Formats: sequence, C-alpha cells, structure tokens
Amino acid sequence: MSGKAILLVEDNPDDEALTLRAFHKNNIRNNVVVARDGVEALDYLFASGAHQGRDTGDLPQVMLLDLKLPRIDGLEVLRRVREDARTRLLPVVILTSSKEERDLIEGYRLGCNSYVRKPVNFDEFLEAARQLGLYWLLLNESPRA
Amino acid sequence: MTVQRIFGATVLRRAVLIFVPLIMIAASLVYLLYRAQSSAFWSIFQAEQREIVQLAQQRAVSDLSAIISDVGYLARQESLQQMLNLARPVDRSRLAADYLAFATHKTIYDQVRFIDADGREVVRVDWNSGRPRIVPDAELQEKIDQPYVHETLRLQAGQLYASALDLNVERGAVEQPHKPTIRVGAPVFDAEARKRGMVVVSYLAQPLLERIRTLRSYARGEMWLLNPQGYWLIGPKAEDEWAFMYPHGKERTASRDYPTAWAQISGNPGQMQFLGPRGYFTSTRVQLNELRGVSTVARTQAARVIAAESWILVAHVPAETLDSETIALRSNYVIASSSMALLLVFAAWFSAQHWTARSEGERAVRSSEARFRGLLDSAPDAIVITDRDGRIIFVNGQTERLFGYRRTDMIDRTVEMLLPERHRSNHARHRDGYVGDPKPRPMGVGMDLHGVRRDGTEFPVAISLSSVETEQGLAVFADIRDVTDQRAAEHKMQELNDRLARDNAELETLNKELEAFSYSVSHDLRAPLRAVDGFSQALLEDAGDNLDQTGRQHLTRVRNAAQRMGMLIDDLLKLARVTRTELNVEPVDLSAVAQSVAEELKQSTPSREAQIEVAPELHTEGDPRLLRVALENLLGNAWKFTAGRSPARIAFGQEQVDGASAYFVRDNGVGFDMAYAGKLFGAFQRLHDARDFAGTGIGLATVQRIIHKHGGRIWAESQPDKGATFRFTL
Repeated sequence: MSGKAILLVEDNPDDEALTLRAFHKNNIRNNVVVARDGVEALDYLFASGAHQGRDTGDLPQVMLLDLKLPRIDGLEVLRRVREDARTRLLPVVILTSSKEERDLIEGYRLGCNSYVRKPVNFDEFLEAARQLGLYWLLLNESPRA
Repeated sequence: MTVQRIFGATVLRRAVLIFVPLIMIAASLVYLLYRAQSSAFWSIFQAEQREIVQLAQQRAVSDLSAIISDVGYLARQESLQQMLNLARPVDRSRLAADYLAFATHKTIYDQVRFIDADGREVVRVDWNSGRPRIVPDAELQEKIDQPYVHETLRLQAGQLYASALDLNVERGAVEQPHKPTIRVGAPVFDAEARKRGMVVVSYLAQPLLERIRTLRSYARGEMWLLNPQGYWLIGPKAEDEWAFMYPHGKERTASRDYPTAWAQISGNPGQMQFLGPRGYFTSTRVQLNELRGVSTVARTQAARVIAAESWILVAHVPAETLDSETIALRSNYVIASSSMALLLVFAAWFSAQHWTARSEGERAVRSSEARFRGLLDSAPDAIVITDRDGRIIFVNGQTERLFGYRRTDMIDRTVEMLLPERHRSNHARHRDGYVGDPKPRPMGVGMDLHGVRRDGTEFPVAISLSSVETEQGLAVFADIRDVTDQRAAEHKMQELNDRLARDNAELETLNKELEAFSYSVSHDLRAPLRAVDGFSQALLEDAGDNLDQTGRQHLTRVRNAAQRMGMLIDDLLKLARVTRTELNVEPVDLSAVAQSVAEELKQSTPSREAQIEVAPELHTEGDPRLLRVALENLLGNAWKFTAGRSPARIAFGQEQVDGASAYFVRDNGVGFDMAYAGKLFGAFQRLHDARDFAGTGIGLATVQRIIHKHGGRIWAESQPDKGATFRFTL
C-alpha cells in the first residue's frame, strides 16, 4: 500500500532506522518523509526552504514528532502547525523517549492527537508502531479539508 | 497632717518665725509712717501757724493803712485850709460839718478833731456810740498834756503820728466797757507853711482786735497781741489784757507768764517760730512805722508814719494742746500698730499652719518625687525630660551611664547635646514640630537614630516620646533605649536571611539542574539503549541463521542488559521525580488505592494463586499520586517476593504500634535477614539475587522518600522465609 506520506521528524538516525524497520515489520508501506529537525519539518509542511514549490495541499497522513530536536524543537513545531489553517487538522503523534509529565501536558495542550513513548525494548517498539499504523493509517479517517 | 502638727510646737515655732520678722518690718513701717506723718504734721502745723499770724498782721496793717490814708485826707482838707487861711467863723462850722459827715460815713472813728497848735480842740465830732455829733464849743478841751498831741505837733509836714494802742480814758478813768483806741494825727500847715495845729482821729480798734482774736479758732491755741512792753492787748486771759492801764496790773505781762518765750520773741524783730516748754510759738511784728499811706501834704507823696510802738502778734499753741495733738497722732499709731500686731499674730499663725500643711504636702511631693526619681532611675532605659524648648530638666541614672555625662552636666542644657553634631539642627526643628502636636509616638520612625556619648562615640538608639502638661509648662519625656545589641541581632538575622535566600536560590538552581538532568537522561540515555536493543534484535532476525547458539545467546544478553538499564533509568527518574515533586496534599482513600493496585497485580499474572486483603475505609491526607507510587512499590514487592507461595497472602491495613497508628503491608513471602534491614531503603540496594527476583533496587528508596515527604517514617520486620511486614506512618 502506498497512500499518503508519513512525516517522521527525528534527528536520531538509529531511531529513524528502527522506526522505519518497525513500520516495515508491520507492513506499513507508506512513503516516509524524514525531517531531521524542526526547521526541515516546517519547510516540508509549508513548502519553504528545501521544499520550495511543494504542494502544501498534499499533507502527510500523520506526523510523527520527536520533541528533542535541533534548531526548532518538537513542541514549537506543533505550535506552528496548529496555528496555521493549512495544517491545523494534521494528525500529530508525539513519538519521543521522554515521558516527562510537563512534555505530555504541553503536547496535549498544543493539540497533539497522541503521545507515544519510544520503548527501549524493540519488541515493545514494534507493538507501538503496529498500533500507530493500525490507528492512524487504517482506522482513522482524516478530515478532508 | 495631724492635729498635733496644727497646734504643736512646729506651728508655734513657725508662727514665731513668721511673726518676728513681720512685726519688725511692720513696726519699722509704722515708725516710718509715724515719722513721716509727724513731720508732715509739724510742717503743716508750722505753716498753718505762720499763715494765721500773717493773716492777723495783714488785717492790722490793712486797717491801719486805711486810717493813715484818712488822716492824710483830713490834713489836706480844703475846708480846713480855708478855715485856717481865712479865719472866718463860718469856715469852722463848715469844717465841723465835714467832720461829722466823715465820721458818720466811716463809722470806725470815735473822734475826729482839729486841735490848734496850742493843743486846744477847735473842731471835734464824736461818734457818740453811733449817733455822731459835733461837740459844742463849751465841751471842747485842752489836750496839750496828751502825749499824742505834743508828739504830733512836733512832726514836720508829711509825717504822721500813730499813738500806742490803749484804752480810752475819760476824765481820768478807763472808759468802760473798754474802748481800745489808737490815735493817728498829722500836723496841719497853713498857706504860709505855718504849723497851725493838727488833725487827729481816734480809731476804735475793737473790731480789729476782735477779728484778730477770732483767728485763734483756726490756730488750735491762742492769738496774742502784745505791745512792746509785753502787755497783752489780746491775751490768753481777759483779765490780763490792758493790764498796763490799771495801777494794780503792771506786773501782768508776757515776760512774767512766759519769760523764756517772751525773751526769744522780744529779742527778734522779725517773724519766728519755736517750740518751747510752754508750747509752740509763732510771732511776728506789726511795724506801724513801716505803714505807708497817702501823704498828708500831697496825694502824690507817701506819708511817713512815726509810731509810738510796734505790736507783736503771737500764735501760741500751749504745750498741753500740742501734746494732745501729737499724743492723738501717736496713739493713733499705737492703736494701729497694736491691731496690726494682732493681725500679724493671726496671719503668722495661719501662715504657719498653712506652711506646715504645705510642707507636709511638699514632703509628700518630695517623697513622691523621690519615688518617681527612684522609679525612673530603676528604669532600664535612659529617660530625659525636657521643657518645651528642649532644655533638659531631668535625667535618670541610666542616662548618666548611657551617655557618660553627670546629671549636673546635662541639666539646663538642650537635649541636642546628646545627639551627633550632624543631626542637631534638624532635631531642634523636629522638636518644635513635636511640641506643636505632642502625642506619644516613637521618634524618627524608619530612621536610624543615634546618640552620642561624652567621649564622642555614637550608638544606635530607639526613642519614644510622650509629654505631660505641668504647672511649669509642657514636659517632654524621651525614653531612650540603647539598641546596639538589638541592631546587632537584627543585622545577624538579616545575614542569616540573606544566606538562606542564597541557599534557597542555590537549591532552586540545583533543582532545576536536576530536572534538566533527568529530562536529558530520559531522552538521551534511553535512545542509545533503544539502538542497542533494537539493532541486536534486527541482527538476530536478519542474521540469526549465521550465528551459532552461543552467538545468539550473547545477543540476547546484550538485549537484556539494555532493557534492564532502561528500567534502571526509568526508576531513577521516578525517584528523582518524587524528590523534586511538590507535595499536593488532599484527602486520600488509601483502601481504594491499595485495592486498585492489587487488581492490577492480579491481572498482571492471573494464573497466580494469591489472596490480597485490603482493610476498608482507610482515609488519610496526602499526595494521592505519590501515595499510589508508594503502595505500588510495597504491594508490588510483596507480590514479587511471594511468587513461590501458594497461596500467596498479602494484606494491607492499619494497626497500633507503640501507641501510634501505623499502616502495614504484610506478606508471607521469602522475607529477608534483619541484619541487612539497614540497607533496605538505600537506592540500588538489593537483598536478593536478580536471577531470583527482578528489580532495580530503587523501589524502596522511592517509597521511603515519599513517606518522608509526608512527614512519616517507614520500617520493616522480617525473617527469612517467614514473610515480611512493612509499616509506615504518614
């Protein structure tokens, strides 16, 4: 299956590889666009910088957002996404190592749709990725703008 | 004050003390007053006597001057000259008619006559007791033997003669009643300047004498009129008057009755006054010689009077009268003095009583003053009392000690002396402000006040002011406290506070660092572990077939180690979170929390045969989330260490331990050796082999930290294989 792209905002290449592997293991075949910091993620979404000319109407199916990012961090990316009419309804899943309460609260306050902690145990990671794909890519109907 | 004091020796002594000087002063005053009045009396008396004598003299002079003028007129009379020059009988009768008219008109002359140069009466008019008549020729007499006649006929033109004053004698006998008479005559010259005779009037002196005599009613004594021989014309006794006219009376003179006084008076031609043993005498002369009238010759010329005698006027106040006057004066003063003395006795007595009473009062005041002073002296603060101008009127002993001045060095100086130089002028201004609104208040609120000692050293003070309105005016009480120690304590306190604030700030910083650390740990330490575990798994999956059994086991151990490190990190983060989390206290239903945890445990391993008993209705106050963490750990441990038991028995409840209520979690698990109980609650301390029981060794450390955070304590009891009981209070 191809379908819409998944935007993975992740600066750690190991996590990126493991995430992609988990998707693959779970037969999630969507195109995964990887942004390695907040700036890249926003450039992609708003067709600026390296992604100049991209059709901003072509939103990803879901954005998997790490919080600890170089330049612009995850919560700031989330704030800007929710501020902009074009991306206001984009499903955002925070996928992060941290389970700090303040991050959790701030993330939900800014309007994330889900908060997933990356487990150390890869088996648990696989399970988390499976559920993510099941929910956000198959079951959840994104509102059509 | 007692009755004894009122009437006792004190009062008497004081009365005498008051009376003696008072009476001395009063006596001196009375004496001076007496002297003044006495001297005034004498001055007035003397002036009065002089006045009276002069008055008498003036009366005499005035009357005699009129007579002299009359005689001058008569001497120049035209009818007289016609008669003399023409020698016609008709002229004599005309002169007689003129004399009759004259005498009738004048009324003061007993006789008006013309006597020829031989001493024979030529024309004579008698007063005849108010019925004047021309004396017929037959009754005219020879008068040449009369002294006044030949004395007058001796005179030159322009001269007059005044006879002695005596009584009229008719036919050799003194006319009765007495007719005091003075004769005044003047020689008369015809056209050829031949002396042709004389005119003479007999003046009736009785009215003059009476007028002089009446003056004695003003004179307090007697008026005397004396002739140069000392015979009384007016005298103290009627019988002595005119004594010289009678043969038996020749001795009755003033020189006989008042020899001393008469000697003085007769020896002095002018006015004089003196006090003699017989009384007070004021005398003057009536000098007829000095009388002036219109000349007998020409109206423009003054007449010259040749007098037979001069008279002496004496005002005599007898010694008895004088004494009675002065005695009256003196007795007035004696009476006044006595009554004053009496008054003073009373005054002294009352004053003494009052004095005694007041001195009682004063003693009371003094003793209360002493008590007051004592009270102020024992006060811990320096107390300075000033008047409204800031002048020090009182200081207590503490002031002397505090400022190093002696009391006497401060009294009467302004209070600014106790202030540092730089504050003095301001203080004087503020002082005026305070006097304008003298309410009790601490002075210089919010200011650092300083006093200055005698040696110039300054020290911090607190001053409170109050004031009292006294009879002497406003008194301002300044209560001055040396606050050196207080300031030092405050300073120390401030330092401590500052240090605490610094420590707090450091702690805050540390907390933030800890937070940043745990944040970083939860993110950054876990990512590599994920990579280790994830890629080990990937290797096993992708290249597992190329590895032998041992190789695959190694990879599995790598993964286990990574996962265990992940758990360690999680538990450490939990511990850190407990540490830095602020307690959020609210009512907590511990039974419900324990029940919920028990359900989760049972569900985690449904196959286990376990009984978890939770006592109902255990309510407390605390942080519900942290207490849940604590119970999760305690019940989780019990669950873990009863894994080999069948059935496992776990209980949560509350019981009394040593009189205090404690919660407990009890199990029938493997227990532990109490020898290691001390290590139970340390982080990373494990009493069991990890191969037997999984765990990080952080759980109980976290529990203890939560219990401590709630102000409680936790302890454990156990025996190996006999289960364990964890108790805690909150």
